Amino acid sequence: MSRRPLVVLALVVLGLAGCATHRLETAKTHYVRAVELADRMDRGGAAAEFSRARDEAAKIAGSHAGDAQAWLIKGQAEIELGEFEEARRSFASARAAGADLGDGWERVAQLLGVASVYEAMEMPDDAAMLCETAMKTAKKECPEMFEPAAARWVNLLVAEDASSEDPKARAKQLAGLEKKVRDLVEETPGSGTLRYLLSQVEVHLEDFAEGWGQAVLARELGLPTEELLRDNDNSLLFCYRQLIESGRTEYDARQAAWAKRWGWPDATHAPWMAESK
Amino acid sequence: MDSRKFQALVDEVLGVLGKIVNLKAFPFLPVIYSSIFYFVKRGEAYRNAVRAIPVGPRSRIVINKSKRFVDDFLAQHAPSVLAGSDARGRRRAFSSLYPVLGLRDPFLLALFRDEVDSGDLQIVVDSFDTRVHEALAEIPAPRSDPAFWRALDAFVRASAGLALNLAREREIQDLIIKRVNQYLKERKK
Repeated sequence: MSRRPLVVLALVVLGLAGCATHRLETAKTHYVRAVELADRMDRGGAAAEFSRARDEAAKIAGSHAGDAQAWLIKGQAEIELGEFEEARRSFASARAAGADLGDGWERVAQLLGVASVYEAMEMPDDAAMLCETAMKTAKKECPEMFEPAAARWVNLLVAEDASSEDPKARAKQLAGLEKKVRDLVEETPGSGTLRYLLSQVEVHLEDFAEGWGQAVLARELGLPTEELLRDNDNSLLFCYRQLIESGRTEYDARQAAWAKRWGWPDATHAPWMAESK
Repeated sequence: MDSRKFQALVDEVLGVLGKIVNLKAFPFLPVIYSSIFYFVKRGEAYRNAVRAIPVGPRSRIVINKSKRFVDDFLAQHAPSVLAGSDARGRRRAFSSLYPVLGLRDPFLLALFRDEVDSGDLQIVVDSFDTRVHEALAEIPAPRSDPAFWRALDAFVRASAGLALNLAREREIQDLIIKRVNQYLKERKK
């Protein structure tokens, strides 16, 4: 047998591999850009880039079924786009293709997907229960999904709906949530995101001193996105105003000291608020 | 800051971006603006730091706020909306206005810039979902083009040399928007 066909075959194989590698790199680049854009609150750009990442990864995943990385990127982009059922399937394919994943990724994606259906059906309690299960699963099996699941869980439980009309029931529900979130904080005291979530619950409970304190800690420990940082700053300043209005003037000096440490122009304005109304 | 040099830089980056994307298409203005402004503000150091974060799903904010927080926000930013709405209306207004005025989302601020400047906040509330949905649906991915990133990176490096004063955020925004409008006007001719 002539060696030329073998060389041609080898070149074709290498070419295909090179093309797939290039596609995978392109998909990763889109994904990283999307994350960057999402972090800086550019939702239009982020949505477009997540879609491109998903589509590029799908092309490779479709033609090279064994490409675990492509399935993984596709699943992660789908999570960001809220396509949870598709994400579940992608994570299952990633695992089948040899990705070093437990089945936790699939189960978390599935739980979050079903939760969003319940949420759309205006059944927040059921949705919250599913998010709580997703959060617990993620904590054990895929820590990357833990904080987003926790944020969705808290967001659902603090929502004020028809049942909130009964102040006692509402207070009981919030107190239960506060205890659970505080337990999470005690397990992971260095998480800025969990401190932020606890601060949000404290604001609902109208414990403004605790809300302020947890927001300060969240800022100190660091928050992963600009959007979270800004929301945390707003909560922190809201708590501070409530404390001052209720006569807790000792918070003037405390707020001023932290603002100075963070390099704010004054006690009640973070630099990102600089634009005039 | 030397505003003439900065203006020249903005014109230069717009010239490059204008060849890559259709700046005339409506949604591009807020997108381009927020991109440019972000890089001015954060520079490459932040970009590199963001790139170093392990890839994974992002956290989300808790958007469901207490009644007291909602009313406090509306009292500060939209007193007329607060006065003229029931509890349901106030919550609806909050969900539109908080990302724009409370979080100062660069994309949304640029999208509703005219209404915010003229104080027509009820228009923001009434048209929020439709306009955001339309804008997002129309945006392709111009930033997928490597030339787009090269242009922005060059702009950041040059801007960093001008020691921009970040306290003058509004002034910088206005200058960029003015140059974008000027660029579009000249292209029409």
